Amino acid sequence: MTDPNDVLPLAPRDLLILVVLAEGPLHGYGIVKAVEERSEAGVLLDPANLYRVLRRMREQGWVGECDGDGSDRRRTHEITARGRAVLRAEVERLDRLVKHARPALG
Amino acid sequence: MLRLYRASLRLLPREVREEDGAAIVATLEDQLAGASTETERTRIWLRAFVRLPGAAMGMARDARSVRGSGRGNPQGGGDGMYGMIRTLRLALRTLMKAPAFTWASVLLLALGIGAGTAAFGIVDHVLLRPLPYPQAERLVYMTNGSHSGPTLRRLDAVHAFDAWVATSEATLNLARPDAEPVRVRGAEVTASFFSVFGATPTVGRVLVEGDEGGPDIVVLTHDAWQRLWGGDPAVVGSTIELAGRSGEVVGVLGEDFVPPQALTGRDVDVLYPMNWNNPNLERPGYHAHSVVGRLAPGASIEQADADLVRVADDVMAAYAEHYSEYSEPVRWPVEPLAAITVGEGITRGLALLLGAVALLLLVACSNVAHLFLARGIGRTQEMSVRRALGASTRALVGQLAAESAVVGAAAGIGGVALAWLTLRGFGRWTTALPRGEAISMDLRVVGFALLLSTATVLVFGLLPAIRSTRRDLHRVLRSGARGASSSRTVQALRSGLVVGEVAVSLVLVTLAGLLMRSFVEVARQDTGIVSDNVVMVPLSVSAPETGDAYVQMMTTITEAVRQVPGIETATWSGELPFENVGGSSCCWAMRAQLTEDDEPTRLAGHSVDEYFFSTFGTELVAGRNFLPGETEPVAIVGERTAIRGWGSAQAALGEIIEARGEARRIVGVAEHTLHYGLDIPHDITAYIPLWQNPFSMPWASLAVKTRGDASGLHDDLRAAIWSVAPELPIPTVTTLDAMIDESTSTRRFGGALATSFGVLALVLAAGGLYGTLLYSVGEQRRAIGIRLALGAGRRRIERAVVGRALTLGAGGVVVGIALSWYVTRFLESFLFRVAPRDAVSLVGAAAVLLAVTAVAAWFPARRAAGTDPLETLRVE
Repeated sequence: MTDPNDVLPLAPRDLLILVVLAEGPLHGYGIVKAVEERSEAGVLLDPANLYRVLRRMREQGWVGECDGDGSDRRRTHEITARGRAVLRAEVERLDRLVKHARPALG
Repeated sequence: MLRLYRASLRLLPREVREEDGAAIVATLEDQLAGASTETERTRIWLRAFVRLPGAAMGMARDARSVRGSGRGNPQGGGDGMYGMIRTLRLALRTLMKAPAFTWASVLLLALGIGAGTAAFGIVDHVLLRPLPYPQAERLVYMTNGSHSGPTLRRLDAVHAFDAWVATSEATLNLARPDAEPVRVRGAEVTASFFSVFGATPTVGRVLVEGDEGGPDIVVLTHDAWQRLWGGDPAVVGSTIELAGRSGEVVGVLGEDFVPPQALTGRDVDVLYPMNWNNPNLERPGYHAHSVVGRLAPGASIEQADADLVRVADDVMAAYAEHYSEYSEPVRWPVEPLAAITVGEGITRGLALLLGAVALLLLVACSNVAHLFLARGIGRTQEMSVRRALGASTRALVGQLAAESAVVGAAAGIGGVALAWLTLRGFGRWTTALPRGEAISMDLRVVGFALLLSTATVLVFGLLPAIRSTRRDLHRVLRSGARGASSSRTVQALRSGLVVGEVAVSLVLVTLAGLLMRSFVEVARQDTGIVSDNVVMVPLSVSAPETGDAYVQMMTTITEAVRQVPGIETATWSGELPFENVGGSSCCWAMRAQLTEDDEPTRLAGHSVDEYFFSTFGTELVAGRNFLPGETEPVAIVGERTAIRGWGSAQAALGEIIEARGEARRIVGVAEHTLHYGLDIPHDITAYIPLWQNPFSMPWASLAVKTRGDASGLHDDLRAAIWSVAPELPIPTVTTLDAMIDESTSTRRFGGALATSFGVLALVLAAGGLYGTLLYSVGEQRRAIGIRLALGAGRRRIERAVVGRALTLGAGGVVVGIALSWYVTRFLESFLFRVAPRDAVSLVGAAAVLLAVTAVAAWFPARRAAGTDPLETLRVE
């Protein structure tokens, strides 16, 4: 397993998707809603791009599919251990960044 | 919409579509279901569509990079927005460097898109959109004329209707305190009118169940309120005099209410409640009301028809004596109100318009395809070099796509502007078109333009461009600086496009020729009327109680007019020639059998006085005119009637004809006339003295023949009318010439429209031909230079170029004639005395096209002949 820091930084959209999945498995629309709320409507997803990101994350092993409550068509995704590692690495990176940047504001 | 989105998912790589496609659609559905407002839903749709292409491109990239390096592009967007802007800017710069190409493409496409969009705007507003009423798709119209009281009283038994409306229109005199009387258009309506057509009051109230008694209670339309009362709200509650009876205005309808044209006409001013106490409503023969029903939820047109058959049988049983004359049972099948409103002729006409516009768009697109193709070939070298330097196919196609997109966007904007201008100009004719007043540029029409531009750019810009990137790299590079000549396929493709353009233009020019020839034929018709110095004065009189009183009143008015100095003679009737254009009968028509061995035919009848023939300059070819006040039942027939029945005008004299329920002796034969329009047959006619069968009506018309110019006499005319009938509103005075002219306006419009399409197509075809030849001449400069250097004459070079053009043109003409042969039969119902496969039109169109071909070829030919052999050889 490669170092999670290799894939940083994450696009805000990707970060937010990992964040909402970290709280529990969600189906497509669930992710759209949660991301919209979490970003205070700053990130609005359309279905095609959502699945594009999910597909990439699946291929990189950050998220996986699981059985959800919905129909066959409504696929549910959950975060994997690797996904959590990436998320943690990114949040820590941002944390450090903010910590260093803050004093500049005086 | 969702289907469209699902179809658009084809943009995604196949693997992705198969795995995630359903989930993507499901998510979109959930999103839409979760949206609470229409705006939000629109945003979701927009976002889904707009971002789809980006996602598709991204996915394709992901698939490659994941497989290639095992590592994704974590940024997701890649060069995204910035790259796109850069590509577009490069495209813009490249296009600016070839201004002729760019402007030509934009202009051609804008013409095509503009015409297509304008045509769509018209068709959409007139045909496609539902009528502006609640549940408009369930409104149906009872056909076969107007309906009588006994029928109306039984309509509640039609269970397939959950509501029905009966209306009867009339022109009435409106008198108000402190204002001159005016003519207004009114309609008697059942109270259900307002709920069925969704008419709500802006001031006061609408009519309700229980309002009865004709024009005693009146609701105004918004237009009448503005025009006649200046929008004064105090009109509600005031008293007016309508058709001689006093009534109270109770309300004004909202501005957005569009009167149902098929029922009340679009210019209706006043609405008043149905007078169920009208004794005429007891008579089965008093057909005065149009009926619209609203189908109950789940009910079908067939059910309504079946219910109405029962009603009809019931009415016929109850009035067996009246219906005994009918040869077959009466039936009133229903038809959708929308179809009745627009009518078959208009629908066919619009279909034709769409067809013509589609052809035009095809010509424009093929021209642009041409230009792109030519340019693509010209740039093969540029592309090959860029490819050799490492540009990917995707980058090259992206570059070309961006150029197409810029051209398409500019053309789209130009097209929308053009369509907007066209539709505004069209406004002048909208009164001729049902629902025409609603025609305007709106989002739907603009959306259509957008679709059209995208489609045209994709098909006719991008495809030829992609071709040019695929060309064999080595071969092009090897041919080096000499510049490659086009390959055989490309040349064939270009020739094919020219042939297609010429063919399509030929079809359009033929259509224009046929319509214009019909128009000329119509205008040449002999009316049998001398229209010089004849003016027409329609009057709306208050219908007197009896027919005799009506005749008396009108005779008095006409006598007074005849006394005016400068007036030669005057006549009156319920309906005069060219007053009821497009109709086939107004006042009475019947099936008649002229002689025992003759087939029954339709007889158009006219009640006229003894001044009719002298006023209209119609000669009596045999026999005599009516005698003043004669009481013996007599008739004068048209010349063609006499010939059909008895062989000649003379032979018909003294014979008996059955007209208006009476056997009449034929005392005269009048020359053949036209009555309902220049293109409407009026062969079997009879005139009877109007005092012999008087019928009281709330209208009548005067025709006045003056000595010399009539224009100075209008005031004297009005004064004469008012001296005996002071309550009449200001009579309008129109010349008969203007009315005859007006009767051909639709035809003139159609002919003009077709001609403008034809001319446009010609210009486009000529432009296309010119462009191709110019291009191929440029391409062959070297060859031509060598030929000139070897001693070929300039004439010969010119002839070769023109010859090539004429060969292509002739090919197009042959294809076009074949195409016209097939297409023109759809035109048959619009033609008048011109066969759909009229040789003159076809040959004329072919000649015009060949001439245009020759002219378009002339300039490139001159340029080819002007090639300087030294210069071209020096380039070597």
